[in-house]
Amino acid sequence: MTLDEMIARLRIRLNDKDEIEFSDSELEDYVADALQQIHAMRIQLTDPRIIKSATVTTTLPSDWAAWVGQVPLKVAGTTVTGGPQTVRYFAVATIPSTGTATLDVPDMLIPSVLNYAVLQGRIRLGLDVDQEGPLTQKILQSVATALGLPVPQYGAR
Amino acid sequence: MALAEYSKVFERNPTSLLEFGDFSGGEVLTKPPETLMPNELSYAENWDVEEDGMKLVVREGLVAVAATGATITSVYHFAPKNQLLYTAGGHLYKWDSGTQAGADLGALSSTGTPRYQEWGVKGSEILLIATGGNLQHYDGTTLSATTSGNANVVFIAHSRVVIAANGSADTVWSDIGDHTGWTHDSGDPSSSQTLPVGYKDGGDIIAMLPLSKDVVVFKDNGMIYRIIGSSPDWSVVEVARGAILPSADSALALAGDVWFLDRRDGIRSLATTAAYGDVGVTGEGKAVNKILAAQLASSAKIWHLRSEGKVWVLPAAGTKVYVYHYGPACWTHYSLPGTPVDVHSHPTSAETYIAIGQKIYNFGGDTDDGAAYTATVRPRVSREPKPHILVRFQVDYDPITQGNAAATVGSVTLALPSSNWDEDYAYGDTDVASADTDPLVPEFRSSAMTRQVWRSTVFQPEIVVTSGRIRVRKIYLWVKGVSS
Repeated sequence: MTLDEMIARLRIRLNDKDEIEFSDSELEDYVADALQQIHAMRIQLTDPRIIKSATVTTTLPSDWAAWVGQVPLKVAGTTVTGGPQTVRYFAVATIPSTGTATLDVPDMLIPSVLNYAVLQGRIRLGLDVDQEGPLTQKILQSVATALGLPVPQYGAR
Repeated sequence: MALAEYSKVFERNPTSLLEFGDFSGGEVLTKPPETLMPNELSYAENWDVEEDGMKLVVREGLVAVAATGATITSVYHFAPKNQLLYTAGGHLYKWDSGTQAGADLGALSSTGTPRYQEWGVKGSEILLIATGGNLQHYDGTTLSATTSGNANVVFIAHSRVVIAANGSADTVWSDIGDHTGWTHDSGDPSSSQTLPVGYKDGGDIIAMLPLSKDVVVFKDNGMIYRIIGSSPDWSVVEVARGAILPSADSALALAGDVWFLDRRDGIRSLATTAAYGDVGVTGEGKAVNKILAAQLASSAKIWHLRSEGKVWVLPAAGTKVYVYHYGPACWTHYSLPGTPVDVHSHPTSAETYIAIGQKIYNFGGDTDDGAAYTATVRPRVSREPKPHILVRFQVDYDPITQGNAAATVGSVTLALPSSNWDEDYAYGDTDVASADTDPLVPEFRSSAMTRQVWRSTVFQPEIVVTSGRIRVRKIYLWVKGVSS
């Protein structure tokens, strides 16, 4: 699904097909926020699809987000000591730069991205979202289970 | 805030309905838009409020019935002879609809604003015309003069013709039953009489009107008198002081009352009620009085459009007239293609004639002589202390003729598609009842709706019709209260 398609779906969900209340750039920000949120979840759930492998010597890879497991390297800012080591790390989320760019999430997580973005819009409108919040969490967890992701392992880093 | 609130147990932001379906208050210009009652309008240009007060309809257009080629100064529909008369350049003309030209009937005796009065027995009615010189009369073919002396105002009462001239406080009464008899004979009580009204009060007569069995006389110094009884048993009684009429054309006999414009108070009236003799600011004028009073100039005029059930007030030279609809008893205003010079609606005729510039118009169609006009209406403003979001906006309306119409609330726009409808109802036609498929009464024909979100604390719908005509029945706004 592309960013434009996601925004079109968001407008249907938010009842704003005529662009009266929400501008495109506002909705793009909500989608970006949602992608970041989902990505953070996937890191927490150690989703292997976002793991990369690289040989690190003195600087962190530019798309580094977190190590996978224990790594014998020390990091200060972007400087690494203890290399070179071939290690695995979680990459940062890919935020679409154009409307035609495809969202970098598996299809099963698309509803979760949509729900997160809808929540942002409804909160901005001032609507009560007490029930949508937990619901979105539940949907995400069931999707994670369906994707075969392990139970979150805190302290895995 | 709302007339009705639909709330379900699981609905966390209950939806309220703002409904505008009663327009009986008309346009109210003397209160801020947010303090209006739900049935009042903050702006209504080129709209009529229908008899029941529940529907708004774009006014009818103006159709030119006469393009005279000369600047018209007055118009009179001489219904007994079925003639359309007008004055231009100091002459009286009769419009010939066959040749589309005006026939010159002769010169008027002076240059004052013509005032007309029908007189005579049925079948041989004549029209008395006062323009400031000798009173003239027109019998349907010939314009003739009398030796009345100067007459700017003409009026009939107690079987006499009564005239008054500018610069005079005298009312001059003709011989009984003779508009040409103006010689006083002290031995003949039926001969011409002169009655000064408000002797030495420092004012001149500018208007005379009937009020029940009396004659009400307006003077230019703010005095109002009534003449009670007939010669020789008559008396002049003071009614009020300080009623400054902006012009000689600003008083009107309406449904047994006398309405007049007053420079300070807008519209006032004299009524034949228990309060007879009192002059009060009428309830009818409350919606516009403050605005009217501020605009009244020496060119102010008030007209009774009998066939339309309306009163027009032109406060000053311009294209804007305030329109009183006496069915629902409320106001709107019109913007016309030019300054109306004169309007005449004969009591026995279904036509109203309006003189603007060189043309005489009547009502019909959906353009002003081919030019589209815009009708705009805004009900009151709903101003809420906390934010609401508009979730649904709906307008129920009848398209009457093809045109462009749209409704808006803030940023939300709703197109109102229109088309030509043959307005035909069972009660208004002559079809055989058993074979008549027309609806009994007008029912709404179209509904336009949009679902959008728009967050605001101020909600004011607006309907703008830039061409064609529609009838608005209901405006609905569904809103949800949200946290700020």
